Amino acid sequence: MTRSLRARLLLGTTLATTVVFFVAAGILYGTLRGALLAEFDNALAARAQALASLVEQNEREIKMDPDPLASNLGKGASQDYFAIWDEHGKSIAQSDWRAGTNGLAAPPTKGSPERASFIRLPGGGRGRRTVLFFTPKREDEETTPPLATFHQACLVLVRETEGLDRRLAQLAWVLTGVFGITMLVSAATMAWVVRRGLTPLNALADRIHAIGATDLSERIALHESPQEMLPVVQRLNELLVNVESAIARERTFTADVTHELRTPLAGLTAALEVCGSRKRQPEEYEQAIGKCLKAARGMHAMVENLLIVARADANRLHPQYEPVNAGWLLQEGWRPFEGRAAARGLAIDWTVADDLLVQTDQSLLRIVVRNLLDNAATYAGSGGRICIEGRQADDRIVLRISNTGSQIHSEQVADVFKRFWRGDAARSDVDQHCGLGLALCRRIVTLLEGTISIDTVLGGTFCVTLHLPAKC
Amino acid sequence: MRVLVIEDYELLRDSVSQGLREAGFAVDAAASGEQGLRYAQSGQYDVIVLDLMLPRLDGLTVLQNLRQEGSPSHVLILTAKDTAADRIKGLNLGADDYLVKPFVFEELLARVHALVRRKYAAKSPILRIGDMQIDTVARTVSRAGRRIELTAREYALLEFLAMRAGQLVTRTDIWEHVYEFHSDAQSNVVDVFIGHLRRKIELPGLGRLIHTRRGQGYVLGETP
Repeated sequence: MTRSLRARLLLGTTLATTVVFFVAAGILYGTLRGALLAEFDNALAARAQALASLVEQNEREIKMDPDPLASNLGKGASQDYFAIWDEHGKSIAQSDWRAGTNGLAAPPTKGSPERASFIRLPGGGRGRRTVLFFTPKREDEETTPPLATFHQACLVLVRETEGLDRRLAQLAWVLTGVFGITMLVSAATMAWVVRRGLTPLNALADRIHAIGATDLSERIALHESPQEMLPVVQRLNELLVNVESAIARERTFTADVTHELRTPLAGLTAALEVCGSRKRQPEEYEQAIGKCLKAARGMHAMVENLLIVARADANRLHPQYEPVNAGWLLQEGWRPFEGRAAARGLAIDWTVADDLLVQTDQSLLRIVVRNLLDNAATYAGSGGRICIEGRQADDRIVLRISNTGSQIHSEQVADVFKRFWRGDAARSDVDQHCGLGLALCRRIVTLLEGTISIDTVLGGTFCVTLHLPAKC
Repeated sequence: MRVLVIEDYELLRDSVSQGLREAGFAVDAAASGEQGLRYAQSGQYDVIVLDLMLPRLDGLTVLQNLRQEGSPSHVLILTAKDTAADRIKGLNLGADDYLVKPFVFEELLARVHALVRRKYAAKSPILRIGDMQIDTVARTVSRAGRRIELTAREYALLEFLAMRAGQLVTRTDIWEHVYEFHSDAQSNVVDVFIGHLRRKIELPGLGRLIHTRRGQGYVLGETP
């Protein structure tokens, strides 16, 4: 079946109308033919009756009265032939007929159908034959007494149907002609109607084409679309919304990454350029290398964090839940910062319950823990204290990481969770943080169906509390 | 010449400061907008290198404050934002130049020099006083065609005097523009350095160029 909607519609409607018209034409032809034949047969029957009335019988015989009218037989528009027999098959009278005319050669048996029928005439042509069984009237009916027994006679009348046939043929041709023209006109009309009807599809195709890749803010107007296409158009609009927001997210991510990486990159290149601008002592080179390495690592961590945030935004972050020992995770997460804490003279308080099990995604929770411990080790004032707590409370586990020397005001708590927000960076002895940490932590914790909150007093303790469902 | 660097990212701040110092500038560094504004208000800087993305008090606000207070320092903005809109905004708020991160340090240096020249209305990079020629780009000094080697500090001092050739330069001016904020304030240090400089540029056979105005300061020129 062809893939073109228009062709299919056209084919279907044309086929249907052809069948309908064909049937209608057939019925019409049949009806008209029946009427014509009935008319003919009536005339034929009348003629037969007229002939039969010329036949008389008396005691001895049945004979036909040669009527001057009878000699008119055979003249006129169509040629008539007749033959009359008595009940014993003896011929009483017959018209001039050509030898071998069917139906006139022998008398029909009584009981054969008396309806008119078509017969073939000798020498070609067609005729219509009617049979009449009748009882001839008494000769001189008015003056003589009725007979004891009345004998039957049989009349067979055949008339050429040339005229009739011609008229029937004309009728057939006219109907065929009308039928043909009607079909053509209807097919043409159908084609036009179908094409007009399908213009909304073409219009939709044009509209879609017009929505270029650069401007996805356009939507297809619903009021312009036909009812049948509404579901399609609505879905299309939804898809456009999704694509537009996906592209916007991607743009934001790319912009964020490039923007946030530019400063560390600038620092890196400036440090290397300045270091390399003249001959220096080995210690200076060592120092420079160390600083650059730190910066490079910081950028790496930032990119990783940004990727996770982007994935979380696109709802492509799917936690894999498994039983995790939160206490062990805290200890493992703290190890990289031990050196830094020791160097800064920080005291560490551990109050973590044993067997603190939680059903969660281990790698995601590890990221959160690492970020929080990193912040604590970084932002605690020199010689200060870090407290790491972990306990079970009903159906949740509570993790708390706090550090002294908070530089965040309690009113800034909302800001702290914002992306790329950086607190007061007037520290000379710590690494630069990209500010993505807490925003990422909150995103992940929300994904893990937990909560994260911050309590802080400027100059006092900065405390981050995590609540996670123990069982999922 | 005195430069203030206001940048919160430590590595960048330290590297730029070191690079500028090694190029002969007296450099003070601030790690936040507030600190930077405090420094700028209390000292006279020829050029301020200002990062726009500062925590809390952002760069554009610092710039606005500086201009409102009528600071004569030229400001060069450093930023990671590179759209035209941002550049226009910065320049309209009173910045004198704009550099996008990351940048080539040499370019930063050249632009700072250009801003210094502009501040002292010296359009040409070559300063000529008498038979002395100072190439401020190559940072070389020659008299009567002969090259004179100076330390960075000495060159900075000479350039400062040369930029204001023919004008009286007080010791305080010299102190504030050539030496860093945190250095000890000893007024005869200036005299000592002027002495060092004189010894190098006023060689036998060449005329005196640095003239003393007793009780007031110094003038660089052919005639006192």
